[in-house]
Amino acid sequence: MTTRARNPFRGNYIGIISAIIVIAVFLSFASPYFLQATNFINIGNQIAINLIIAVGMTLVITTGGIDLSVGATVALTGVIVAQFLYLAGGSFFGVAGALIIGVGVGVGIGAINGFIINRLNVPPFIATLGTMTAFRGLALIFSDGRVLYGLPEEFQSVFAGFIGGVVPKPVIAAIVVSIIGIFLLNKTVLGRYAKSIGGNEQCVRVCGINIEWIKMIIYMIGGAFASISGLALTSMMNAAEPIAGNFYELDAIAVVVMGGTNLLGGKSTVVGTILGALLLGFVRNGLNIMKVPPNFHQLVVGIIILGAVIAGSRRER
Amino acid sequence: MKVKYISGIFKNHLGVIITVAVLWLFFSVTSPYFFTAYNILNILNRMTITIILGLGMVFVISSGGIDLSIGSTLGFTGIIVALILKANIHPFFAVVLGLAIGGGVGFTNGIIISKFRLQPFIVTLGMLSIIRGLALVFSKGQAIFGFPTSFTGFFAGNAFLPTNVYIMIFVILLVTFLATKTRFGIYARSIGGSEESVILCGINTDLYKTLIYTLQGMFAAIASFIFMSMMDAAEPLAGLQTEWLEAIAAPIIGGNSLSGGTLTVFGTVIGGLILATIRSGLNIFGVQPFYQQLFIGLVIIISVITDSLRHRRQVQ
Amino acid sequence: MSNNYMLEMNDIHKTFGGIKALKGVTLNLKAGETLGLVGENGAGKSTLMKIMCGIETPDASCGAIVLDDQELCITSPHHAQELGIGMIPQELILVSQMSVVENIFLGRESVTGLKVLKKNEMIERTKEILEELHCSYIDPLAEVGRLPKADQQLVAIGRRMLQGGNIFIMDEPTAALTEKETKNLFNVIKKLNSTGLSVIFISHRLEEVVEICDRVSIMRDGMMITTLEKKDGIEKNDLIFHMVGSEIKDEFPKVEVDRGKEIFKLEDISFHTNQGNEVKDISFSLHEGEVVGVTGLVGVGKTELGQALLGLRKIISGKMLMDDKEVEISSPVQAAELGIGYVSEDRRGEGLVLDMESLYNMTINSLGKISKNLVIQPRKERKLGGTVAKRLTMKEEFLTMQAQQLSGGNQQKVVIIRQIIRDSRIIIFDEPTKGIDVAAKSEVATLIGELSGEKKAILLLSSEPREVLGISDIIYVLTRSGLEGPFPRGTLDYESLMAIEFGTGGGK
Repeated sequence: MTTRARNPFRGNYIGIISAIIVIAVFLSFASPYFLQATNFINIGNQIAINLIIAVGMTLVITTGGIDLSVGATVALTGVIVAQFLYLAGGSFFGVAGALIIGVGVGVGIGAINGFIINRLNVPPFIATLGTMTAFRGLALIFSDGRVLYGLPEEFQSVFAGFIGGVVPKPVIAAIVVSIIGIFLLNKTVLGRYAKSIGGNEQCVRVCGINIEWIKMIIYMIGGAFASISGLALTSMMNAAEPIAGNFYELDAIAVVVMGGTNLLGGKSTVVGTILGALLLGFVRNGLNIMKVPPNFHQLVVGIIILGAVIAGSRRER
Repeated sequence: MKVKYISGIFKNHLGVIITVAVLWLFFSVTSPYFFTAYNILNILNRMTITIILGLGMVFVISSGGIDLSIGSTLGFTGIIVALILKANIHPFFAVVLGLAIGGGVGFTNGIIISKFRLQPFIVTLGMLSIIRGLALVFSKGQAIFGFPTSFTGFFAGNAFLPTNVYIMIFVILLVTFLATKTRFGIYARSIGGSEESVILCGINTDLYKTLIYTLQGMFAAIASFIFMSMMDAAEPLAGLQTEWLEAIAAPIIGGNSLSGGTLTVFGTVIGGLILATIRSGLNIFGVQPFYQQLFIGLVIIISVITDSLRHRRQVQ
Repeated sequence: MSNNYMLEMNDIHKTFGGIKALKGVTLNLKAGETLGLVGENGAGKSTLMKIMCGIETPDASCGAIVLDDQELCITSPHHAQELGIGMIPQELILVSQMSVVENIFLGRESVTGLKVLKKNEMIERTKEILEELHCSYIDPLAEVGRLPKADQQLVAIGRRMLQGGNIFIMDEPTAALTEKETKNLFNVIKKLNSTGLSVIFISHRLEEVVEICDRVSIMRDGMMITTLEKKDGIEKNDLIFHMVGSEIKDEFPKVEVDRGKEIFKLEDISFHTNQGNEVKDISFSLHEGEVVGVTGLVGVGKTELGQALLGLRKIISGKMLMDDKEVEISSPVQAAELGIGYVSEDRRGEGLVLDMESLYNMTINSLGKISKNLVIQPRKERKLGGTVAKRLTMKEEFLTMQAQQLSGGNQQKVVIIRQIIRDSRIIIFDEPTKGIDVAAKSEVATLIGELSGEKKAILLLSSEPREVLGISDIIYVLTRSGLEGPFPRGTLDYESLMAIEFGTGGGK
């Protein structure tokens, strides 16, 4: 019995692609607002914010870990960058510095997560649960609990607006991040190591490969992507909210799992994550424009998440 | 990871007892407001919620699992019970239904975890979302106010001590009984210690795991009764601030191992006391709520690190 | 048909996926006796016991099993328990965080009508059981994980006793025990016999088997060869004779290679085994082009020796030298840097990433060779893998298949190819032909020979005597009292090797 081990997901994409098409078609008929340009821009931006984080999450989950602190990273990045911009202003160096510092925050958080998980032997979900709380607290402290408005226009223009007048900048960012993610996961040594660690960590350890380093790098990448998303969000909103990114980690995990990546590690697909993000994005948008009471949104999304997790586990059987 | 017996309790929990003593000493000396009847009462009140939630959580952790949805269960049960009370249904039935709902959520968690063999944290993470959503739906996003005093008086009234303290004591006694005098306690620990051995002994682990999560849900319900009576309001997002984190932190601070196998009720109670004491102390010193959140996060990380180091040392 | 046998298993056949594990085995057990069951690894002992315990069912229709003069089938483990048959496996079924009482009564707790635990009653009964087992010094409330292994063993027996029944199967009960503890265990077994309870004693410790068993049944290659009676006088050599048989095929062809310079040396190394025993004063050296075989009984510490060289196990004392320079190997990363490669005994658990392509499994620790600037070059990878695979007569289509889909023999080839691609200087093989078919066995043996021909130093750890005899240039035997050897190739044959292995098994 030969099973082509290449691209094991190809068949499975059909399910989620069909779901996306069905929902899109349904919404086109069910609501006049769906097929409008402004709506698609909205969908695009929201999906972008979620997807950038989710690509990083895919890498982390591939190694068999998880990162619950990404939402807090989004918030903290925004707050720190805002404070920096207040000081440095909107000059080129100010904006460039803000971007660099922003990514630095994510990398730093990722490094802290990596340290706690590797050196202190704390299970990833507890470690990142703890850091999530701690960094959220920091975000509140650094912002005095207020929303930080009035950021320089030059910063806002980094992610607000369009390229070529048509494609929103956050969407471009998401596409770039996705391509990087696909490349890292499938074409590089790092990706190969990540998949192997998720598949059988002990085997990789016995082979003499430095697992600690690889996991550390992966968490730092995940953190960096989360902070990029934070930069995009802050730039688009022209404001940094300390409570931003609330439950973004849940959405990221959901989208990864819906896309077919195995939560226990090993088998993973960034393409699946992209599809999952599209699906979730359309569902959310649909709930909005169909005027479903906001309180139902959480419920529907939660059911989809749980359903996807259960369906995902049965697929692996 | 030790088996705790009443005779050896003090010896086994020396670490946390000393911590409590030191904390109390510190705060009493540095602030005149700490060691007052008013403040001690405050601490007691704060403690009851954390401990009731923690005592449900301790069985879950002991069996090697975790329940992240406990906070949203608290909020959701509160909303439903609030609606029932507002419909002028007798509080007694409201309580029964509340327990059923909390238990129902726990039951669902337990069934999915055991029958589908999924990791507890991802299942309860998803359930957290769903239940929170349900809470928002039923409450239309608004808090619900004003409950009959027969209800609030029972759960947050006064009878020399606050009534919720008596309820907490009742829960402590109940849990102690379950943990030390029934098979429930033994199986919780053994499933966390070595689930394969337990299965090989012919024990129905699916059944016991489901019971553990159901019990947890019911305790969340009790905690929600107390919470809504204290506030005289039921908020859909209640329990999602720090209550659920403290529910996990209390057992761990008290010495329960995150990977399962230990079961200490006393430790959980002391853990709850420590958390309430820290909060009270920080409040008195005017530390803002955000710093408090940071602190709690650090406390959790430190206790888990200590736990895993303890675990690692023993394995070697 | 009784013959005063309590249990008869007649002409049992068992086939697993085309391979016959049991070829018409007959076993009889008398009431109140201790029956020894011996045979090499793979002889069929555990399969036979699994059938007795209801975990497996025999090929033919039932009626082949007669218990207390009744013909029956044992349909499930639960059924076997009801019939009074129970095994104490080598890995004891205990929960280490719980007390002795709790472990003994796990699943069988005494409760009142209201489901309250009758703790005092259980503690009393536990004390009774411990008394019967001559170990009343054990505190019923003690945490099992903290007891010495011997006491844990007794707790496991206590559990079995509470279960009730007349047939106890003990699998390698003395593997982790000292001589004194073994004597104590034997007293317990004799006591059990005197109450009419029968014990099936499975062990590789042949002198112990001779001491405690009333009769000994010997298996080989899925067949029951014979049963010897104590009253007729049994000696260890008799057992070895029947276990070995007369045919020794040339399963393991040898490639002759010149010995090169010394690369690695161990001086007075000591470490702990998994059972907690200390292995002391291990000294030997590895040369280019030479295969050093270290053999010994299961559990004596061979795997742990390999782990010590790989940095997976801490060394208590002694030193290791590479190219005459002292080295400290504290992690597999360092071992890899030094050029030490490892083929694990646990193929599925440690050797392979099962859901990944075989090709990727082969290149996992040589990614530098098939990548440029950290980017993998798939064509180069396929070419490299294909070339080596061809050398091992492995079909190219296996390369793209997931490792878990390959047969045991092919899986082992994948792991070995990994070492070939890696080009390590020293390769440690731990039980390299365990659980693979005969054809693959000889291919692996040839391969090991070829690798030594490429100036690599090979350390072969194996409990399969023919393998060690066939492939090694120098043989060492690891026993409980230390390392025996070196025995150059040709100075040992099968029987003398077995004699050394079993000869000092009685402890210090």
